Amino acid sequence: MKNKIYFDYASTTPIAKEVKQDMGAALEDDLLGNASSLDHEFGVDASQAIELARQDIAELINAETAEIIWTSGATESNNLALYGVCNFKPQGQPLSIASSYTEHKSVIEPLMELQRKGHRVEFIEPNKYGYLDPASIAKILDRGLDLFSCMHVNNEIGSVNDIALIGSMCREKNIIFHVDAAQSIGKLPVDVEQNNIDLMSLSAHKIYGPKGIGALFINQRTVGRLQPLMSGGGQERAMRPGTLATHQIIGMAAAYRLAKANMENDLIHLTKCRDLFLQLTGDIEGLMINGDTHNTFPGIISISLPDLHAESLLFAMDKVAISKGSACSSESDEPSHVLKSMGLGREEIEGTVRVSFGRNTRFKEIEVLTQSLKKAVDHLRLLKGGI
Amino acid sequence: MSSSIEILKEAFFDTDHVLIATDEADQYTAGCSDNAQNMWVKFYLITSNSKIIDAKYEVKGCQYLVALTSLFTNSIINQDIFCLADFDYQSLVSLIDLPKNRQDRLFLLEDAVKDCINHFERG
Repeated sequence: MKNKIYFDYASTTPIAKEVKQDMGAALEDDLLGNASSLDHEFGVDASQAIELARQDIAELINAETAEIIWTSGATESNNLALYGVCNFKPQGQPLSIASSYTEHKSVIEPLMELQRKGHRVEFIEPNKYGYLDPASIAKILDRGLDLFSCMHVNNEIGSVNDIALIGSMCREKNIIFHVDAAQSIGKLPVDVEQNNIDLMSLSAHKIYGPKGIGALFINQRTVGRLQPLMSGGGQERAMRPGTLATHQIIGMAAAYRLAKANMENDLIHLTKCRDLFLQLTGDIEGLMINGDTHNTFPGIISISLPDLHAESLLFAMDKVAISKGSACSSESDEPSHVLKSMGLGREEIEGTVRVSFGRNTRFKEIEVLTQSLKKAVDHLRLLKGGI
Repeated sequence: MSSSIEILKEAFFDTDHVLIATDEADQYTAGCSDNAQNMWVKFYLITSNSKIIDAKYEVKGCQYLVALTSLFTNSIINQDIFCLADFDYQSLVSLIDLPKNRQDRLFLLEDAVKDCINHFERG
């Protein structure tokens, strides 16, 4: 057991006890069958368990079970959604796609690849709080798009896009609307019907489920089919071939049921965590909060100390586990593309760390975190001559 | 025998040779360097003839730069300032197990030291 307190829930979450129990049971011999081998009861049992799990996912987002396709996680779901739409069109028919600079790399990189292949791709800037302004979306939708893709909650700063509004704007113009809900699913209510969502990427490990499993919602009425990324089997209506990982799927379903039951209380708890953190760090000179006080998911806080270096700040905070920017980019020296698009300068970006809270975060732990942060700030400022 | 991570931590948190407000900076021969990632190092040396009798530093950067600066400063007291030009920076690499993608931090040290020697030579 590591002797650090975990504050990196936006990166991943610990698997909930209930999820482990369900996954453990699924790993017993009763569910050893391949869900595609329906010639005997082992396969049938696995298939039935998977269909029940599919129902749990669908229920959380108000979708039909047939609209849920299992994937390995939100990265694959994003890739499948974007390539799947573009490649389903006849060859040589370029599509017009737009997204934003604040997206996860698993949206930005496929879009750049599609652009190289001849599709028209545009990225819009967020406002200074990190979310998309309806006016800039309206402007880009007016250019006659085929597909618009954006995230619901930003993984680095917690900003929340108004997907209900964007969905209605897209539906009005018959534009396919893809939402990357990796950070919001199970934490904020999402209704694909009410929000006019056509495609939505889902993750399990961000809400106390296992890693390596996710799903893609595909609206049957508006999208129907996508070109698969892989071939070699007819699973998932041939859109995502491969033997299904029964225990992972059951774990994801358990996490989604838990999320549905706890969402309201979780949100209240995370708001209290955020408020306490902000209250206890209010006296740190020069500390900037990136993002907005509204349109923000309370579980993620991005802070900048422009006079300090984030990497050494993390090193100095030896009792807590937080991250520099986002986990996806913390191995790289490249400045965060999200913070850059919000207009932050290099020094502000270099001095940014992300704190994220979860269901298990205790208020006492936040006190330890803020004490540790203050101690680290004092040490690093002393090293640079107290300036 | 301390492990490289222990040495890294100890050097990172060691503030014995950090220049503090009560130190009279103008008594020292200073040298500095910086890079595009907003990291910088400043050395302050007091010499008698050319022997370093006291050394201080200020630093902003990653934990490796901080630790390297601290270890380097500790190791140069009582040395001749002109010997610093031949300092074996690679000895610090193994001491803290400096990752390959962080070895450019050594250039900052080296440039700040060269700047110090230049200032010393110019009196």
